[in-house]
Amino acid sequence: MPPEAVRLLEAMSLWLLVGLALPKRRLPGLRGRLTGLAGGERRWLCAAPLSWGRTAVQRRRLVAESLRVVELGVPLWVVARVLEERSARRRLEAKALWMDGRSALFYSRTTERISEQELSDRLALLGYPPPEAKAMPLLTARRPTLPLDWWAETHSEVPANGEASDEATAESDLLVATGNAVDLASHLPDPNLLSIRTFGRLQLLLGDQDFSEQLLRKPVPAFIWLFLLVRALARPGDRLTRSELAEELTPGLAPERQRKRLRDRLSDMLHGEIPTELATRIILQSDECVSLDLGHATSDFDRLVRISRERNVMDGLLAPDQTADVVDVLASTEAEFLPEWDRLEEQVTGARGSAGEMVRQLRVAAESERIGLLEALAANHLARREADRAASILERALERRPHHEGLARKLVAAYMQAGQTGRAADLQRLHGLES
Amino acid sequence: MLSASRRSPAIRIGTIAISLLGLAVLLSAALVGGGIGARVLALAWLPALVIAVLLATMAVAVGWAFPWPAADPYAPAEEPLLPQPILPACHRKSPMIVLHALEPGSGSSTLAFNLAVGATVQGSEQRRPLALLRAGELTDRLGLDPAPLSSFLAAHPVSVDDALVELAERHVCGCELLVIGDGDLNGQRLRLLLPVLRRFYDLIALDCPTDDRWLTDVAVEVADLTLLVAQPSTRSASQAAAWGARVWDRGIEGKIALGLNRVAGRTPFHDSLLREFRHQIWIPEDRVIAESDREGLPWVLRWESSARRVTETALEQLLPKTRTEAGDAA
Repeated sequence: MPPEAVRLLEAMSLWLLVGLALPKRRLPGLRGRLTGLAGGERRWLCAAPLSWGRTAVQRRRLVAESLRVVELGVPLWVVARVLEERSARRRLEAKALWMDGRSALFYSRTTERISEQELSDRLALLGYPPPEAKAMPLLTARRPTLPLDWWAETHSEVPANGEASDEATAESDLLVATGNAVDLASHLPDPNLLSIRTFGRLQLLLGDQDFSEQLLRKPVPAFIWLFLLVRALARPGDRLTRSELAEELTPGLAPERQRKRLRDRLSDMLHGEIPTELATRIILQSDECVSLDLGHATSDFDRLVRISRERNVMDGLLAPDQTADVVDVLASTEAEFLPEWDRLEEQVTGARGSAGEMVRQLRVAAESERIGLLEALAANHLARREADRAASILERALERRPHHEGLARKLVAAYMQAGQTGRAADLQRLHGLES
Repeated sequence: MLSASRRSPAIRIGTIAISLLGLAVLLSAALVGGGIGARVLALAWLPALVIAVLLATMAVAVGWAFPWPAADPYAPAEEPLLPQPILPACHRKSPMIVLHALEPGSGSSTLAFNLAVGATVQGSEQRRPLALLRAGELTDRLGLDPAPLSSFLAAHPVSVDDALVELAERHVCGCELLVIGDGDLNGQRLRLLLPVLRRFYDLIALDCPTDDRWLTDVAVEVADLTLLVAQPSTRSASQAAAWGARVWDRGIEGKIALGLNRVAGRTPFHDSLLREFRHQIWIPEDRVIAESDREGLPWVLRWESSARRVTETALEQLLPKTRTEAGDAA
């Protein structure tokens, strides 16, 4: 044989061997694919043949499978083909089982091929319960409410047995007045004292006048004023420089342009863009610091923190006036802290600054203080052998912190003390507590 | 990047082209370079040719023996190998799963709807899940209206009573559906609704609006699991990266899961990003989903749906008391 022919045969043989024996594509997770095929979970090893699914033409099939042979190599293609065939059979069997099963029945119902009654009957034959009926609220009997003047009379009387009566009325306030803020301003004798309410809806009260709406009409000044407030609440005594404020107001701009914008904005605010009563509280210090003057002002957030800390000083039983304060502050801080902030921040800065995180921390802190106060109130009731009341308070706390194991344990203890062992056992199971 | 449907022919054409090029190189080497020497080749040409012929014969025989696969209009052209879902079990009574779309069109609404239907149908015991869906195309197809809930919330700014449950529409499967209009739900309202909903429903799937950070924070706090629904796109990947950092900072990785929807092949989610999420679920590209959504039907009840199998596995992990029909049959 001429040497050229031998060389040609060598080359062809090598090419054929490589072409037919070895795979030509990456096969990540080959073992997983083969296992999936064997179990009927996959349809193909990698992908369907090229012209699969189209009109059946022998020549096209031959080309499609030949391409797969070359792509995978004959040994792997043979294994894949055998497993794909097995997978197809298994899937047919599984499909047949499925079509007689529960899901297919429900699908028939959704496509209105069977009626509700037929669905229930056929589910019963399979040993399954029928679908649940529509959820309906429980019927409650109407009861006449206590007239307001009788309620006021009751609260203004000095109770014969002192402490217990005060706590009872304080307790009913907590259980009934969910989310209703107590009117702090009505208790403030000083008309020049700025009352800042941040929970539920922003209110900036001086006497009986609320300046919050006027402030919120101007998004940028409102952002600046509220950022200063948030900063004062989150980091009392901390110094905020003008460049930090400028960065917060216009993040990403060049420093000179930031300073100019801030200067212009502050100037506008101090010259009538916002109510004077609010503008005069912005302090521009000579050392480039800016702050909000919260002297001669009260805030519900500070009150919450103060009452929570005072509660910690005298642990154990709460004094009657403390109990009233705790109930009062819980009612007035039920809602979310500064709900207007997120939209305002999004509008003014696109939420690119760090202020949002500070507000979030304040919300978390407020929630922690409230949970602490609820726990203290519940402990107070438990100490006075009022386990039912303690349990209802702890239930509310647990709703707000559903994953708090400590609360769950206390609630279990309260239910045990109240004799509701079934409910206590349910809770232990739900929260995975040791018995 | 080529789509999955175009990738298969491209791979095959590429394979053939490389093979032909290899042949051309070998032939050139054989003819011009004076042959492929015996020192390089371990085989002589004859045994190699015989083996090649045997392989070709085997291929023809197998191809002849096995029939052409039956057509299935819903099977994908390319079938990627996806990891099994890893999700935490929700042991709490009436758990809430929050679905948060990382970009529009991720499929959070259809997932929330089908999770609720799946949870109704899969369990051996009676269940009544609730799906809270954002108003959109799917809710229009389902014939749902956000107005009743919107009016209810406006009329109940500080407290919510049980009359809320009358607003939910019962689906024929037994689960119930409520629609949230734009701007209707915020953090405070969610806290008010949740205790009432937990009294009546065994599972709450919330398709959370994404334009309110306060609401998102509250939802993550009160949920038993937050599922971040992403698409295999760079936008979703960057949003997921931001979430990964936030999750790590707050120490809540135990109740956050990444849900990668419409996976057809490779994704821009690198291993380093995926490692930030302990819990994950990968849902394949599935034509059945689009078709079912257009008709307002649940794809989780359709045999042909590849996403159905993944969702069933996910529900088994989330609600451990679930029994599947396959398990019952076994």
